Amino acid sequence: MVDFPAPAAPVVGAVSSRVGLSRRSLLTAGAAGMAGLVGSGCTANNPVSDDKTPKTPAKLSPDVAVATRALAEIRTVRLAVAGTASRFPATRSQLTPLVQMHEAHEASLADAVPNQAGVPGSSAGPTPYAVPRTRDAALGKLAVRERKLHDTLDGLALRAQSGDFARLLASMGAAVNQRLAGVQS
Amino acid sequence: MTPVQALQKALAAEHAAVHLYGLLGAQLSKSRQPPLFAKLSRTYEAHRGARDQLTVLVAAKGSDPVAAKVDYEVPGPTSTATQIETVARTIEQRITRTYGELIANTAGGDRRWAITALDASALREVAFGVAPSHFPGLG
Repeated sequence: MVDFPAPAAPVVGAVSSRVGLSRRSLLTAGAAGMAGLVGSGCTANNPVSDDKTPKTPAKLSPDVAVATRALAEIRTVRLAVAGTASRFPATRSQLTPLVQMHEAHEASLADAVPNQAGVPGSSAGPTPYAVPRTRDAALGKLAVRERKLHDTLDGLALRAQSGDFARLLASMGAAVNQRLAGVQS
Repeated sequence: MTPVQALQKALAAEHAAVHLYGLLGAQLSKSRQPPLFAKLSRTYEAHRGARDQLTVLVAAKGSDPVAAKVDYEVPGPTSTATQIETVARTIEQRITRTYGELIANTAGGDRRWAITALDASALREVAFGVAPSHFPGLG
């Protein structure tokens, strides 16, 4: 009789052989690694690049661009959820877990995104979200937004060059999916 | 871990899931517990489909797909419906983490497949009573 094959610890950069890494360490390493890419011009998972050309700070690595897009999308949806909960206070108990999830996802990405230009809620102020007039319509519109966010996160996970960052993004997408299933059931 | 190794690991996990869900289904009465039996049946079919697809993905890379073991250790008692659901939750959480690894160690079409598989297993976790997580498949 054999055990169910146990998943190994998450692979994080140079410490891939370590076991017992927690989700926190994965997130921390992922965010730190992402932050380290900012302005360096390095490409994730490309340690053998012989390109010595100095990069301009404005040219972000592809994964930083992915993180920037993910953060912007998550914030936009989080503001939509908060706006809906504010307009329909009776939905707060239903929507608070969604807000908390989005906040956790934002926190895992925030350090990876330089100056957060173009991210809603950062500098220029958030784009207003139009909450529909009825509760059902408002929740329906939110579900569409969350579904779109899920699809976006999955798409970004596919684009990410770092495997661990892809795993993080796909996990976020799956979390949105889990919450959607709860909201719609 | 190479992409093929990650695929083989996921395949091994799906072999285990197919075996274990077959066992869990055999422990239940279809007439006395129809909703849970139906859920286990759907889940069994899902894992069998995933196992078959992984077999194709591994073979397409020129490797021999890892074979199933003769037996697997059941992760918990299965005497009651509640215990069976607990075991199902454990299986799904392990599968979700395995697909997280697969995503991290693949790219392109294989990663796309793994992302879809992670989504599906994360939903099955919830269906069996796992509380939604901020980061399914990471912890």
